[in-house]
Amino acid sequence: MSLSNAIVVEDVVKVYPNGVRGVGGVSFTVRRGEIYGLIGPNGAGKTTVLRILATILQPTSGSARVFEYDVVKRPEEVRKIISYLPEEAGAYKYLSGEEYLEFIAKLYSSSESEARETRELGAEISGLGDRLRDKVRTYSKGMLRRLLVARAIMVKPKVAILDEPTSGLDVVNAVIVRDIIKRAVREWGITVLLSSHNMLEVEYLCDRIAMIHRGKIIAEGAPKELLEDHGVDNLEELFVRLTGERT
Amino acid sequence: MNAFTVFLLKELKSIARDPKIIIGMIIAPIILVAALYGFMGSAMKQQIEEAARASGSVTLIDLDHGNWTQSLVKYLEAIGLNVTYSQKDAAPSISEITELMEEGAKILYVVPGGFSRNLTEMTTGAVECYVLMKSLSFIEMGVVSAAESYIKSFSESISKSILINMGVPESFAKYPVLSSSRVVLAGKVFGSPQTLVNLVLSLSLVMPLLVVMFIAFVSQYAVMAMAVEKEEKMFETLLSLPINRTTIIAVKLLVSIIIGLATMGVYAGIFMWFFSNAVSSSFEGSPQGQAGISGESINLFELVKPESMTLILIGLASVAIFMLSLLMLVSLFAEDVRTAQTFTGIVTFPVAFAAYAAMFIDIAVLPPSATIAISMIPVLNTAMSIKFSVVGDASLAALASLSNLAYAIVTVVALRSIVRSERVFVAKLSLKPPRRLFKKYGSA
Ligand SMILES: Nc1ncnc2c1ncn2[C@@H]1O[C@H](COP(=O)(O)OP(=O)(O)OP(=O)(O)O)[C@@H](O)[C@H]1O
Ligand SMILES: [Mg+2]
Repeated sequence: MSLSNAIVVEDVVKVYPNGVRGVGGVSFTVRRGEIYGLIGPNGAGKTTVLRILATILQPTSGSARVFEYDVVKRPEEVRKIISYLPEEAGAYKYLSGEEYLEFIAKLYSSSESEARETRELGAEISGLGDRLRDKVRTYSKGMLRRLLVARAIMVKPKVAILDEPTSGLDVVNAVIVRDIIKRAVREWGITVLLSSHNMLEVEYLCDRIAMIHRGKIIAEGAPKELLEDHGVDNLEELFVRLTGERT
Repeated sequence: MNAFTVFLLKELKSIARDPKIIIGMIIAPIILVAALYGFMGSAMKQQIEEAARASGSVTLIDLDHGNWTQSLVKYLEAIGLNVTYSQKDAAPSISEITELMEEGAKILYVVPGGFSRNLTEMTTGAVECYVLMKSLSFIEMGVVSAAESYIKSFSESISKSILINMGVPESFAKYPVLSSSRVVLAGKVFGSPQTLVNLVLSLSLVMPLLVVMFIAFVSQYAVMAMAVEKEEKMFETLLSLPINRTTIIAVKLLVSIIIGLATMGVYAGIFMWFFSNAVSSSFEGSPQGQAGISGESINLFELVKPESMTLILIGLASVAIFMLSLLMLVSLFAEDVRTAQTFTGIVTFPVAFAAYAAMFIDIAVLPPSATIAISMIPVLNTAMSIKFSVVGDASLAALASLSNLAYAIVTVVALRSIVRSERVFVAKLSLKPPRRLFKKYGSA
């Protein structure tokens, strides 16, 4: 495996215990320092892929590696170098935003001062200011999502795995979150793997994308190239062209 | 920084601030127990005072008009009773008796005609003794026995004085024959059977009570420990964090134990306060004096060898860990706190049952296969282990403790392997029907 690859997914199949096939043979590679997007409709299998990379699920067959670590054989090593933002994540509601960031920072840090720096960075990234002192319980959806994205980025993981980072956010908050992601890559060289069903967002944000449909990748590449190759104006059109479905 | 400490601090902080937990686990039981004990305490206090007052005064109706009745009255007054005396010529009717007792003392003696003559002629005399009962409580039963014992001690004093007059020494006059009991148990001789039985009985009552209480309190938190993470929508995140999953379980177990012990401490405190203040104070001033649990005390260590004691403690700790990890397993699969709590009952009910079944099991009459089976049933064997050790059946006591240790190890290992696999995330236990969202896209 080349050192320039952050994530390598090879022919991963996931069948859930209830018999539902979450993904059916997915392969892709994410290069270091890029923003890679998984796009596709509801139920396509995006979350399933991300959960396998986040060591929460294990593939039924196939393999996945994050840097040099296999997610099945070395999950504990993988967890040290990733940070994962689940689709429907919360934070401890009786902690304040500040305490929540501190909790996460301490888990990733080896010293008190490192933890403090991490937490301060998180506070800055979140942009929540004084509201960080309030209990998470009192946050709006947008504030919570910003806190969680900040938490995922502040620990400067080698790979940030973000499941629909902007879902449910208004335009302003979505823009803020996208800027955080761009900054993560630019300033700290973090590799980002994210999922979305907002095709326009992905087009703007990602260096490369994989379009997932019914558990399979139906197109992969840089958004511009994909559009040129297929002679379409945007990714939505491409999706319709490839699947014969409307998103 | 140490992940264990970090996680423990987070856990304690969340608990301390979660009104659900504080109210449900600490404040509610305290209020409940305080109210219950406060009520029971004052009710019992009242009853005991009432009993003391009731047995402190008597009404005596004299149909005899003789000198022996006079000496009975003097005797009753001499032992500190308040005697209302009246002479009558005809036996009172039941309605008269009732009326007299409603208005005056609850104890009423009727000395029939011929009582003094009988005694003078050395023929047995009889006194009718009436007690007014209202609630048929144990305390009222005490009044009945008090009423009888006054007459009995008068009777004894008569025979004693007769014997003394005949020149019999006083000590001999009272009890010419004494017995002294010894118990042979497990090759040792104990001097005081009553104390011995009391000790073992109270231990076999207290042990299961402690186990049940501990498990009931501990389960409150253990069972919702993981469900809380799910409710907070932190479960998925938690599984992806660089913290050992065994550490998470260990912290949750530790917190459950802390909370369980703290709650038990609160209960014990209230309980002790109740007994030291509410009840004991009202026993003072009773003319009855002490019930008299005399006899030498028995040291627990005389009964149970130190090595058996160690075994019992190992068994106790094992059964606690076994139950806790069982609850934690339930908790892992529960979708939310409510589901988790519903399942607590399923786990704790058999525990309470097993613990109390121990009191009704007589190991002496059971075949060896049955005792071996009993010694391998968790919780039941813990409750029995004191008995096993006291009767000197060291192998059964060992079997009990070691089988618990084995169960604890098995459940902890199971818990650990589940937590480390994806089963912890995928397996679900829900009271709601499963939702198969987005299924139409699944290409199954
Ligand atoms: N825990 C689970 N148990 C059983 N089946 C599941 C589970 N999670 C997902 N699935 C199934 O796997 C398939 C892929 O789901 P997945 O959540 O990966 O889709 P997705 O692309 O993330 O969708 P969305 O955009 O709605 O989040 C779906 O058919 C879904 O029903
Ligand atoms: Mg999803």
